[in-house]
Amino acid sequence: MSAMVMFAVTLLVFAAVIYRRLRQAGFAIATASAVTLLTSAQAGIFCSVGGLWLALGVCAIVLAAAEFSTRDNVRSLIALGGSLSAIQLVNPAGGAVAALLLPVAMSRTGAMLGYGRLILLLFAPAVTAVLLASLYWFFHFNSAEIVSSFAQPAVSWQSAALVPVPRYFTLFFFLPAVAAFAPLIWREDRPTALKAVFAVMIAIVIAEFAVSFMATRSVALDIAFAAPTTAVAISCWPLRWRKAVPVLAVSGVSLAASWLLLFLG
Amino acid sequence: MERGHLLEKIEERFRARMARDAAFGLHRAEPHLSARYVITLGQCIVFAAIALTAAFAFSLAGPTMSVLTVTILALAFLANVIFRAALVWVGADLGSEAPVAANESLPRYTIIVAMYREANMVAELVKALRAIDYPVRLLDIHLVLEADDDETLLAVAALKLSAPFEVVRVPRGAPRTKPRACNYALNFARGEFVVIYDAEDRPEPDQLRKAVAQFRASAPDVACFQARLNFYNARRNWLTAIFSLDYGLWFDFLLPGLDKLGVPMPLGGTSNHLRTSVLREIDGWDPFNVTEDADLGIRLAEKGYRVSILNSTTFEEASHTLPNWTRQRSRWLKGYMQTWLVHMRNPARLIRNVGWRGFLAFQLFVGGTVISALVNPLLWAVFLASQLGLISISNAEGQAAIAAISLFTLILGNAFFTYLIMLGCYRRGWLDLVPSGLGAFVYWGLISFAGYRGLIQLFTRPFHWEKTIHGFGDEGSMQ
Repeated sequence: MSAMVMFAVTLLVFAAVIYRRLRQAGFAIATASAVTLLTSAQAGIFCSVGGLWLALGVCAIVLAAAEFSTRDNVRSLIALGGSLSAIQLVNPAGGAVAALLLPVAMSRTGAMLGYGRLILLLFAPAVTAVLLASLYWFFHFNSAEIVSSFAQPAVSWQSAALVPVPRYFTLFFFLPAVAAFAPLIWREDRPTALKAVFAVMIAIVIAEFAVSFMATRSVALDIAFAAPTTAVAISCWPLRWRKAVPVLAVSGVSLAASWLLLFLG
Repeated sequence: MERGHLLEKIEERFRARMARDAAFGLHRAEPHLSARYVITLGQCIVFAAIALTAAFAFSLAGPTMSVLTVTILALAFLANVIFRAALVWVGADLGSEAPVAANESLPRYTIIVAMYREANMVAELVKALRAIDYPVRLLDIHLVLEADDDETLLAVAALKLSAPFEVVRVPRGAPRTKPRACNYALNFARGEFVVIYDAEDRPEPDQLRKAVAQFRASAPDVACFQARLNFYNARRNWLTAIFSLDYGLWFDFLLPGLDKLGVPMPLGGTSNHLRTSVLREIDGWDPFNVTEDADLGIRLAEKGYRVSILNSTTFEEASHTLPNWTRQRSRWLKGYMQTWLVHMRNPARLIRNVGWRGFLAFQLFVGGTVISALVNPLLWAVFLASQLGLISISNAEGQAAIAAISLFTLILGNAFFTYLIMLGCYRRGWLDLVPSGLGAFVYWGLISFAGYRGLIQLFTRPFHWEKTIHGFGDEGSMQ
């Protein structure tokens, strides 16, 4: 399969997941479609197949975290643990650190209770980390290398995204998502699902910043986090906020900021 | 004439015949579904042919065959684990709360409790049965005792029980198993439905009402409802804690998963609510099968009936000592081997009766339970032997492949098993038990030991019923 086809297929899957989530959250077809388009057009998503996979992985984590915080059941627990495991295939070090940080971040937001759940949540990511480390140790197998081999530009203009960035710049990539968490500041009855998505973002920011000290990272893999986080955060907004104007405004600002940051980077 | 006297007269007159039917009724009616003979000639020939072919292939291409054998074992091992993971996902759906039937729709309900040398359990059992919320006039409770079990007979007599309790004395005879006793007692059952409890059981008080409501709401082909089981002494020690996780996984996730998929479900040992007419139609339980419950679930499926899960729990006493636990688990695994052998006597018939999906689920669940218990130590042995240089095959790449396959399977299999067993407590919210699940790889070792013990017994004492001792007390609390 050519890089372009793989890119198109993955982008379609990503867009479908985002659209479904927004529709489930009660958004009108027009609004959901517009937000999906604005999200799918973000710089991080358009950079490379590798970046897109990472966005898909982050999308799975935030969706599972939102579900887990509102419906405490086995499926959402497995989904969250599983997505934290899967992200390590794309980004081993960052994924492992984020998995470790997530329960702490979720506890701070009140979305995580008790050591039993903590063990259950961390077990799958911990085993994945051990398995990946063993595979690397015994067989020199590195899943991230395989992913980065896919993270080549599908079209010529994408090559700009593969430029290494200074480590402090990682933090800026999360700025576009910040507006999506406005209800956490402005409302007293903060939605639990939104708190959980926020916890995921905090964990990823810290993990990415920590990992950027260990290895040079390209914009392609760093910038992809913001898009799914923004879209899922919007889907967790309180009902009164779910109107076309603020939703499209946040999505539009996020889109513009992502491209601006890409070229500044 | 009073019912008690009438029963005595009938029993006197027909005792020998009823005892004979209890032991050999199924074998007479459908010998191909009876575990009276462990293995058929046809199965012996098939197994011998496989062994001879493998030996021949080993002599021709040893290294390749070694890798192939380890790969097949690993695949069988992983298939069972992955199937269980899929069942957990499917069975995790909470479903709706079971309705409770009102008084006017209640039929007569038979409760059968087979006991042997359990005098110490009688008082607690009667207390638990009296706690059941069901009109006494509609209950038909049979305490089934072996005729020579004087100790338990005396304990029951001392309680001077009256209706709805009746004592059924099972004449001496072989095989001395619980299903034979239950078959004998089935002659006296008057209820539209019948449920089996063990002496240490504490069913939730509204369980019979829930079962009636579920039977009334379901199609006539649903012949049985299996209530969920767990333990009231789960927190006694590590073994009871992990056993409780194991039960939680089995009854809260795996069996509901099989139910949702609509494939054959092996019943658990107690709290099986059955339509009495169907049970009689299929000649009751197989007295030669030491997991007659598992066999009954598959036999019902073969006869076109369905088994479903009842959203009500019966609490039992978990074995808290290793010897007691090992005896129980050996019997279960031996019974699963019997069940697999019986229903695989004619694979084509099984496929015809339960379909391809059911057939595959039977292989993965019933066969897989045995295979995973037996293969786990083999893979450990292969991996350790390859690392210690005890396996020497001419092909160096083959040797490395064997080590890699066994290690990968062990890590993945044990990790999956540990994770799934820890999830076992989730539906009940018993999350304090989760850390005990981290020792699941040790628990799996114990299961393997019990599996090999069961395998040996399958050929040395196939119908021997290893008694699980109950009545150690639970510090008086329902946890």
